[in-house]
Amino acid sequence: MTWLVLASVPLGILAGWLSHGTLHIKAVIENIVFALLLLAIGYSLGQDETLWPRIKSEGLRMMAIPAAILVGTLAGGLVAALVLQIGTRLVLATSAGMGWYSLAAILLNQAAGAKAGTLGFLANVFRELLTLVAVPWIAKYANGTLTVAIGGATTMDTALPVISKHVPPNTTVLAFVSGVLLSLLVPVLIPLLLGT
Amino acid sequence: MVWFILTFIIGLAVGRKKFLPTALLQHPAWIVTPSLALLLFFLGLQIGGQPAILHSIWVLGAEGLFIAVLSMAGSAIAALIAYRMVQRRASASISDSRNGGKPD
Repeated sequence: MTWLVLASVPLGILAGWLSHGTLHIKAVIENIVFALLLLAIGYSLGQDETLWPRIKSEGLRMMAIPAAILVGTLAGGLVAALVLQIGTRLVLATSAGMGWYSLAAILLNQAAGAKAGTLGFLANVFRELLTLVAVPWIAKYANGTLTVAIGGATTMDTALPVISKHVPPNTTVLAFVSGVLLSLLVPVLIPLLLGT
Repeated sequence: MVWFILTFIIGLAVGRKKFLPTALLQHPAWIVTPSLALLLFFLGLQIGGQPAILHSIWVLGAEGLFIAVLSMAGSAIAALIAYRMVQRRASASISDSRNGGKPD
């Protein structure tokens, strides 16, 4: 399924390139699919019965790490924006994708156009791929909490199996809780940061 | 774009309170994956239809990599600081409880 999602972009690019940009999807169709997606993502996070008690039981101690990850990600994004000079809001919103490349790309595309969507897709794909590569190395030579930090929202799903393989169980729980909290923030943060 | 946030929050509330235990929403993955794939395909269509974006794809890739690396570095540094603070507070509360809640 991940491959289907990942292959959708190159397939779309190919179709768009072959049709010389004549193939257009009506905005209303795009918006309906998008609303359905946001509703389903919210629903799937909301209906998980184990999720909320887990977050509550971990308490404020567990909240400190995701909060720090959020602040650190945005601080890193701010530095990137200062260096790249391509728009602070755009770079901050891109980094606020937290590695959730599919949703970040769609949100950025809807709010700021195809170029922003492309940047959002690439930056967040890189974050996920770099996380998968770096986790074993970081878990071996540095603090296990760093594996949670670099993964952002991906520690809830794609990166979780890799993290759980290399860190103690309590850090795995932290990874999951942190990934959930950051995932909850992505659909809210990106539009807010873009100011749209 | 407030509807982005509202739709997501409505989804969360519906899922949490189980207002609508409909067959359609029982398996959200059946909605999430195809709609993600479809929307990303639409994004690809827009990229492919605009030669300017296609020509700058390597530049966008380099910028994306830069943003990813700095975001990861920032989050790692901030999480490490938070971890140390949490550890310090935890060890302080342990020593407090050993002293019967009285300071040293």
